[in-house]
Amino acid sequence: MHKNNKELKFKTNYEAWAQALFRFIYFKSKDKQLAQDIVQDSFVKYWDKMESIEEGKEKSYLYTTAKNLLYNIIAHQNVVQKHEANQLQKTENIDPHFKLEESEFKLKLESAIENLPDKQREVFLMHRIDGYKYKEIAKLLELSQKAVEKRMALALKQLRTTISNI
Amino acid sequence: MKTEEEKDKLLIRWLEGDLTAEESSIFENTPEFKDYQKIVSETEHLPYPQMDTKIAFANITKKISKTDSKASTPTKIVTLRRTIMAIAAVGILLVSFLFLFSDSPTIYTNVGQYVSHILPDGSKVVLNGNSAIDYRPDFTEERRMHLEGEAFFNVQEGSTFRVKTNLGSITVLGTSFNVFSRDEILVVACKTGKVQVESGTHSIVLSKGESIRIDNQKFQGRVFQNPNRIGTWQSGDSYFSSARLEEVILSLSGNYDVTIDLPPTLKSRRFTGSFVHNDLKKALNMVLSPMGISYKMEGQHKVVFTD
Repeated sequence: MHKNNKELKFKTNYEAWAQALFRFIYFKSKDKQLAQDIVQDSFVKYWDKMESIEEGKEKSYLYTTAKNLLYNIIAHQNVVQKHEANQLQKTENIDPHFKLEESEFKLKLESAIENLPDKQREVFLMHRIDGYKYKEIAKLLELSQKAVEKRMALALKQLRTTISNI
Repeated sequence: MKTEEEKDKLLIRWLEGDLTAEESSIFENTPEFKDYQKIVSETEHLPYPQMDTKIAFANITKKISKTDSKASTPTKIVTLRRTIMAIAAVGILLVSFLFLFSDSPTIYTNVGQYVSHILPDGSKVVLNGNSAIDYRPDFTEERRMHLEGEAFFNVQEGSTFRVKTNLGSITVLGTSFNVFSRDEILVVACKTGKVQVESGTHSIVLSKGESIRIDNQKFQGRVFQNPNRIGTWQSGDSYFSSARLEEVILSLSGNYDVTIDLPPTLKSRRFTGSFVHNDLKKALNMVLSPMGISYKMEGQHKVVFTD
């Protein structure tokens, strides 16, 4: 690959996927700094491997790499405590505009999403926030499309029940 | 009554924007629909954390140039910007070349202008600032055109009339409607008659007073507004009904020669109200002050946020 082409392709793909990859890891880890580090490391690895990755497989390469990096880290430390610390910090850091705007419904919804089972939350947010289709989510998470759809429907029903029960 | 399983199927496909008009009306009549709609539309506006992609990219380049210099080539990323600029320059040349030498009639406006234009079939189009349409000389045979920016259409009845934008296309028979297509946002509002909007693989039909917003080819919920408010910008007053601030600012920069770099955290806030087209200071004040956003002008053409 010509050097300039490689750089251009890298930059284009970075701009297309970095933010989504960040959220993907954030949804799993709830740790902003960790998610950012993992995104950076994943793209560095991607740069090194670019020549050997098949056209069209780049996105799943990035997601798989990021996921593996996260699992390695989780395996090496007890992240539970860190989560709790981060959760506290998170509520303190909310933009004041949002604080004012946040209606009761939004607060309810936010906590209902937080309380979804991990697998449902991941699918729900990838679909609603990152705009992935069921098919793409299935590919990225190495699941069947049916399974993704099922998690999605369960998530919506769960959210509805939780919110109306509060 | 629908069984749970059938309802689930509708729910799943509704979320993907895949329902036919008939299925939509069935689904919209289920008792759960209103709740789902609210959950989905609010989810998009929760304050999720964002990564500063610029800082992260700088870190990546640092790491890459370290590993690369160990290997062989030292100055890697430095040339990146220049390459992109060169490509952009070629792109601009090419586009202007095509523009100048194609025989399609092109109508365009500069920032702050409006132009009203009668098409060969008698339909009327009014272009808002910094917008353009072009269509082929054989327009009367096939009524279609390309739009960039924002325009209001009043279409004579007749054969299919199609407006293409970079983000999707709108098809009608005879009706009036407004199209806003800037950056990654497409908003179509139907003032009279019916309008079909297509983007990616999805399609939706809008009736009088309905509007739809498509963000990156993703259909957001259908919104109803007073049809009298649609296209009011033609009389020098842009009106919005709980529109994303991002869209309002894009619209503003079509009417004024001004650079507004809206911080990402403000983009999804909602604005209801209007702004005038003949006084920038007043317009900014009308939009930003009620939302409690502090800003100041830097020179004549730049707005910076002071929070």
